[in-house]
Amino acid sequence: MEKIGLYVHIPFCHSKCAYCDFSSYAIGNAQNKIAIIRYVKALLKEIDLYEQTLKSVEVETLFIGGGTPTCIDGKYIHEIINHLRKSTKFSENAEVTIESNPGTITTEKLDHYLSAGINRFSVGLQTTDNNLLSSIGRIHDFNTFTTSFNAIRESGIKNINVDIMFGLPGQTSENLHHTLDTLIELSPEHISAYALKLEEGTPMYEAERKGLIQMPDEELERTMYHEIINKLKINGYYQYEISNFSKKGFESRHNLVYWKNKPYLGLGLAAHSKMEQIRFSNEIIMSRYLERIENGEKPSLDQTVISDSEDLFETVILGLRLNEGLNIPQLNERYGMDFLSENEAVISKLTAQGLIQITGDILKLTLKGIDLSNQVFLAFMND
Amino acid sequence: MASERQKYIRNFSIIAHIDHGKSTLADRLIEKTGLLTHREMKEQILDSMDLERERGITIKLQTTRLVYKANDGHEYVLNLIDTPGHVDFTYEVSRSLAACEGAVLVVDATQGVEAQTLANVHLADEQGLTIVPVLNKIDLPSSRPAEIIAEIEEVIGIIAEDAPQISAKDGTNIEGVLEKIISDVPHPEGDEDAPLKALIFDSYYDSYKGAVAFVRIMEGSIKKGDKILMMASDKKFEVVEVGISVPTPLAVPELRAGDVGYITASIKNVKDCRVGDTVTHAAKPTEHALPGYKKATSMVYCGIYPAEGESYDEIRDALEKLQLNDAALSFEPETSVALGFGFRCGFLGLLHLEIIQQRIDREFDIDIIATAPSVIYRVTKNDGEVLMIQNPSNLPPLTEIQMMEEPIVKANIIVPNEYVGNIMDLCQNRRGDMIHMDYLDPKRVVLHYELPLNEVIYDFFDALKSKTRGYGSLDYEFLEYRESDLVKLDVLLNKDLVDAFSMIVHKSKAENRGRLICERLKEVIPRQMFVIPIQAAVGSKVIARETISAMRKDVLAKCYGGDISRKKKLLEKQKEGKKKMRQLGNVEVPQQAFLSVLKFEE
Repeated sequence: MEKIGLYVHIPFCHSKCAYCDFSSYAIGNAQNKIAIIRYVKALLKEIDLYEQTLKSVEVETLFIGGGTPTCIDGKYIHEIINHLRKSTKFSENAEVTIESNPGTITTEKLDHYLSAGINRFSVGLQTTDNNLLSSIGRIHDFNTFTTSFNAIRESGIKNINVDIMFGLPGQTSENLHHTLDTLIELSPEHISAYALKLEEGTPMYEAERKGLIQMPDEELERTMYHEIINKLKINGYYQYEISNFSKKGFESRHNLVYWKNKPYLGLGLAAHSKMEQIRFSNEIIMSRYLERIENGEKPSLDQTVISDSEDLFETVILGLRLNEGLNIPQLNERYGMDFLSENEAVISKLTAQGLIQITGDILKLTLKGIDLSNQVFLAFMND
Repeated sequence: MASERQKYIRNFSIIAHIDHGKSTLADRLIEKTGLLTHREMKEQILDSMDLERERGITIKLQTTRLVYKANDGHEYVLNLIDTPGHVDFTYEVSRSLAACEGAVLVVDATQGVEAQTLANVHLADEQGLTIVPVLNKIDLPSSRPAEIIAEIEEVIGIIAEDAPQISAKDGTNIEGVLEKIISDVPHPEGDEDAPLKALIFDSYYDSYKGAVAFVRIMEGSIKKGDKILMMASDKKFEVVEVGISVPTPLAVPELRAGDVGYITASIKNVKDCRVGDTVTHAAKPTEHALPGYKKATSMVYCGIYPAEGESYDEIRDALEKLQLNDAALSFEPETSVALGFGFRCGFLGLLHLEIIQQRIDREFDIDIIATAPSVIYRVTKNDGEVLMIQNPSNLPPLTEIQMMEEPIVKANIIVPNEYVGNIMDLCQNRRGDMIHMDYLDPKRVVLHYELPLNEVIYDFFDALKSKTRGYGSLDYEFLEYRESDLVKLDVLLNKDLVDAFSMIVHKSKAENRGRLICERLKEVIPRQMFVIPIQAAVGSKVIARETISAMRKDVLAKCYGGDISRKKKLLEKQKEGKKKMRQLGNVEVPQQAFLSVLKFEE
């Protein structure tokens, strides 16, 4: 039975952050409250539409992401997971993660999550600085985060990820260290550290364009990144991917599905899937998503059959994100090729530029290569 | 003796300063004569190219035939021959005017006489045309017809008291213009039975018909099947079709003396159909070709090269096709160390150059790289040999040069008197010599300057406009070559000389321009994986320097919910961008880098 990762998208938030360009709807709006009920119903029906697929696979990881999945009633999450459990086989030790934001978690919700079998939480902190938090449109302060974190911990969850951000406008190195120190004290099992990137159409993008906020320069941003790597390493978090750090054995198995280019099915608005070398994604407009499911149709758009060479490219660029790097014999076996000789020129150029290194069977990015990873990926891209 | 038929024909052009309403009036004339309904009118139908509409000027000539029933009860054929309205296109204007008996002179009743008004009147006078003044924009509260009439009479010397006062915009008194054309413009003459003598005043390339020539029949007649001779290019063809422009082509049995129309003759080679040439019958040619033909002389040159991924052959085809409409465009192959194979192209002026570059981009969809424009320098070597240098890279070493000369133009600049100071500063800055200054009226001044052409081609017109809040106008013509203290300014990128950036400048300007170029290049060249010095040098002496620091970061944001395709799209976009970059040594240089050295705001 094929093992897959499963992603479920809950596109609701209390309010949208100023840097966010993902598909999400603010629940403050009365219209949207009604939409939640309709949406959950549609999700359940979408699971039914994938009945055949789900019957034939084993789910190793489930990630409920958003939006803020914890902002809707806990019973809905419970209902969705229950329905999935009825429709497909979960591995015995399946990783079941829910994404959450501080201030949205109650005891009642935690009861629902735990009885549904959720065993991993991902909490968005971003920074401990309350001024920075409000400047990027986060609705919580640092204390709210601590309360939520402790509540999750006390409920018995042994695998928690915390998201932090660096390269925020006005963020200083001191601020970053304070965030890291505080976090190390709390001792989550996993930390994701993302550089803020302004996406077109977001309020922060506009603010930057108008000169209202100023992004830190590349030097400072990269210094911050290197400081994160060092500090976390000293404190027992090893970096296993460009943006991800964990204590041994607590890597995000769901994210590894993506990075190892393995199959996954995404359910819900705008969710992405890759099954049997076909990539597809769902409708991104709520009304269309609901309408198609209510008409008994799968809500997917844009099916792309990935050719072998594209699949190889994806495996390479995704695999290079991992610190374990690419295992060349494995790659050769998967694609029936001699990777090194077929990419000789590119590899020797990138090696000379100090962007990649080969040690034994492993090809990986250097630290400089991580900072300039797009240059490496572009070099491997076909013309 | 004119034939009865000829008495009911009027051939005329409209001349005006830019923005005085020439195209709008042309539209109204077409509308009034009932060729098209108001609904069918596309705004400014004669300006058929998007580019023209955008810039609000006419580049390519168009001609159209109108039929008007006059107050005297007769139906008249009015051939309206459009003219381009810019200083760069003087020769084209002169050929269009040579096809006419009269010119409608449109003067903006709020602005009065401007530099191009004068220049165009001068051209029309040279062709012996009857000038029919018209006051436009009479609907505007700021119009002052009485003063402008006086100005036309004083400055131009044409009686204008009964000039139609119109508003082309809202269609007021368009009949007045039509009646005036019929009463004042002489009808054509010319023996319909004499040997054929026809003037090519415009041409364009049609992919089915080949070159289409717009002609004014001066004498004789032409019909399908006739064997014709192009007298200047000395080529013979058989006529496939003759017709009139309404303004779409409409085939007719024949064109006779006095008519305006087009001919096609399977003319494949664009060079065989030059504006200004005389068409006659091969078997029974006319004795003398029409006067005034000249192979247009290029004043400004630049290199045009294929951008990354584009082909040299496609550019050659595009240039050949453009040359058909544009006798003034010249080109020949050249090679650049930095850019490979390309062409050195000659233009009438900077606007002409920009238009050609944009047309290659828009009409042929070819990405090009253009080098900095240059005028032609006359270089006398120590051994007495004289070279005409259009490409700075061909300049001999300084030690071999005895003397360098640059082209000087005579410029007439008309400005409201409050801006005279600004413009005198500008001209002084551009190494100009003031010859004298005249008052057009109490408020406006004509400044007569002698300016080096290489100063005029760098943004002079833009600077003039910005320093006069758009009120200044300019007209210039070549005067002479004059000795000058010139140097070759080179640019080194990562220590390598990039020949495409080299330019010849006056010694006093070298440092300033070198600094500007370095600053511009620093702005437009993206950081790369290593530090890149940018230097400007004269000979071996570095006069300006900037440094592009190495790239520190090029990372995609988080991989969200397995959305690989978005990541790949971003990478593909980046790859596309990279492909458009030009590899100079090991430095990747974007297209804009080549454009950024073309313009200098000072």
